[in-house]
Amino acid sequence: MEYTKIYTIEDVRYEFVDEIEYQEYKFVFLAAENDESNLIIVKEYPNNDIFKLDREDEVKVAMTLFYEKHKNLMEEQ
Amino acid sequence: MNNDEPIKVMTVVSKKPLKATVTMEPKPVKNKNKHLTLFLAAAAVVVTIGGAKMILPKDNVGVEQEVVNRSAIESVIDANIRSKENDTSYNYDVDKIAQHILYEYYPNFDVATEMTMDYVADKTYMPNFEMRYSDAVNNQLEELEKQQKEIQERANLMSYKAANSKYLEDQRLHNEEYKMLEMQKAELARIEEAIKSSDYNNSKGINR
Repeated sequence: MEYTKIYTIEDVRYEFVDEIEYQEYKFVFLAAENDESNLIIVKEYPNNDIFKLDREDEVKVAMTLFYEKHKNLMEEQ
Repeated sequence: MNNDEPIKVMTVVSKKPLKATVTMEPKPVKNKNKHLTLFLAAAAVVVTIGGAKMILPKDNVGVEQEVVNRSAIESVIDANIRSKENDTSYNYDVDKIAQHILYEYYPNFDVATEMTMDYVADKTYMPNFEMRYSDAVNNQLEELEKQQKEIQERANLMSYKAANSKYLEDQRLHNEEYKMLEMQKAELARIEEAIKSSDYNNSKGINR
């Protein structure tokens, strides 16, 4: 049986998509279980505290890291 | 979800930790590739609109990453144009846009020049571009021709100076030769005179 990581945030269930370590936390990329177009990025600290991104710069950094990590996927398509 | 639907990327200001739990559940990952692709599409938009050049602090050290590709440049051009489309007073300054793109978003100017120029020229709402681009090329050609003419003139002058220098040297040698011949001629005259004098003495029966 395969396992998947589920993040339940404010009573909404999100499926784990990807994570990228950055500084002292990691960016976690999630997709809502019941609405696949509802994508969120959170940052998770080693003590399991989870925050939503609080600065536009952070979104850009997270997205840029994600883009850099997966841009080959885009080129394949 | 179809491709025209906007991709929502939610960000909310939050200073407190979220009420969240993380669990592992025995179920296959659903549509992971699709989610990756959706995120990637959103990331491409953020990366492009946010600027093709970003500073990514990595391990607390500033590392400059350049995210540059053709579609990113084209998107930036489009974004520049779109942002000004409703402004009727705006006179599309192609040079300014191209310069903006090339210098701020694409540091490797040489590689991108031709492609970006072509892309901008393709825009029908920039009718003056090709003419102005052509003018720029013509001006450059004229400048090159002018430079070429100057170089040719300098070469001619150097050639003349070299020829003149050779002429002067030849003249100097010629003068020296002439002087030597004059000296030889004088010497011959002196010898001739001495011989004549000797013959005269002999004819008079004067013996040494």
